[in-house]
Amino acid sequence: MGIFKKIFDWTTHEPPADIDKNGKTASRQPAVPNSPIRSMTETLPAPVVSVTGLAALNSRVTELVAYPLENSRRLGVPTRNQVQDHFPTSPDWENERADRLQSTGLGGLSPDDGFLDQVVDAFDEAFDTACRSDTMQTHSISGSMQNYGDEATVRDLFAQIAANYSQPLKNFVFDLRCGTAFKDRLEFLRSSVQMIGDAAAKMDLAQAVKRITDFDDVLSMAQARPQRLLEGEVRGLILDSYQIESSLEKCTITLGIGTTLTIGPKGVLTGCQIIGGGEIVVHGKFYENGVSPGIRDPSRLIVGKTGVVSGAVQQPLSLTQFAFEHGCSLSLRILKAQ
Amino acid sequence: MSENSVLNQTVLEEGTEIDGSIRSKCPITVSGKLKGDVCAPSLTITQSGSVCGQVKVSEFKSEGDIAGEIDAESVELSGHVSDQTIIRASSLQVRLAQNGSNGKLHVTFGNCDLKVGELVVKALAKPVKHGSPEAGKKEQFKPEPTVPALEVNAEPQLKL
Repeated sequence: MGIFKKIFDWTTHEPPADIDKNGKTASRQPAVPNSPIRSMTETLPAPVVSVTGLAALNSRVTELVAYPLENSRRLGVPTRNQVQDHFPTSPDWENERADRLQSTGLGGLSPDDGFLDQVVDAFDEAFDTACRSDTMQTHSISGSMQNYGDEATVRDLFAQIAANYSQPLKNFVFDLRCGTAFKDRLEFLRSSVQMIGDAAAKMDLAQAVKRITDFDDVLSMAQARPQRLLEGEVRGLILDSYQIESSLEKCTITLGIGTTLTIGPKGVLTGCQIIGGGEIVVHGKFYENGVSPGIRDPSRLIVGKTGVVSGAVQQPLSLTQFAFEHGCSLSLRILKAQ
Repeated sequence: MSENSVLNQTVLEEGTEIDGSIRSKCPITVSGKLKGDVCAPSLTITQSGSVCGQVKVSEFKSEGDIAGEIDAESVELSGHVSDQTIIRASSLQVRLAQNGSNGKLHVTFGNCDLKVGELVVKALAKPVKHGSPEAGKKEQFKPEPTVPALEVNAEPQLKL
């Protein structure tokens, strides 16, 4: 079975049992149609981070960052149902999907008609093609324009592959932030991460391979621990290795309450605006350079010794907790709540 | 800092208020209220202290209220920073509140400006106007080359 098929099955089929807060196995309650609880989880707003305009710089690989996705769920204290139900479907989303199908001339195909299966199969096929080493060698040996274009196509394909592989990972990180992630899922996650790493290796994306390997090492370490619930130091390590390490331009990032946006040492946000009551940790660079205030209503703003923040910070009524480390660079206008 | 200046200190005790400028060669500790300019090797403001004015010191540490303009090499901040305060420093440290602080913030900021780090301060000192002939020559922000390493974190783009 192809990896996309596996992911698809994993995300669409309910597991036989769930783990309760005490780590015990408990049967999942059947979904009750029209149940208010079900309805609430289904209509959770999708975007944790809405990227209104994003230009990935100096990279052919799509660089929509993890945090945005993770954090795009605007929520208060997440309920267990929210955590479990990673892929809720709401009537609105179904309508939107139908509209998209219509607009792309695929309106006649219904997802229920096996269309998704076809898409998943197509992804698997494309992924297998991209991963074939002989194909990649042909690309790297040849220097013709045709091959250059092919390589770009393959890179784009890789980005799509990585994007799809990363979905379970993002869900896992979300749970990790909520403090409800168990190590049971690590085995599957690691296989996804390793597949991405393999694909990156065959495309000679050395830096990507290194980071993916580093991340996998952290997951491996977490897997080796006796505790099922991932917390404490391991939790911190995983979250630390999962952060923005790219350049984003002119995007709006919305943080849900209780979420953390970490800009890694190599991360650069230019002309971006971060909105919401989450925690922002900056080890990289944040340049407002556009809409002001660049940071609005954060519960915490932490700037590490390598961090650079240039712009204005609008505090919420409850005021922002600030922390600055020696060595950071700031050109900061702090504004009281309006 | 000489040994003599370490031994000698100027202390403004709690309950004492001074309206005027202070220039000193030894460190100053303020537990009372000081309204005026300060020039010294270092200035420490305790929790009960407050300083309002222009401060030029090498080391600045505050746990009380500050207002005005602060120029320092090294700043450690807690307490309260009032409106219209400007802090310029090569290095700034602000700690998060500890767990035992009953939710009280370590530092609260009014409307104020922080300019910390030499690079940022220099860049601000010589702003480059966009469109001017010098705009292309002067140092401008150039995003670092992006490493294609975010694939793991990339947003899914399953197009249906």
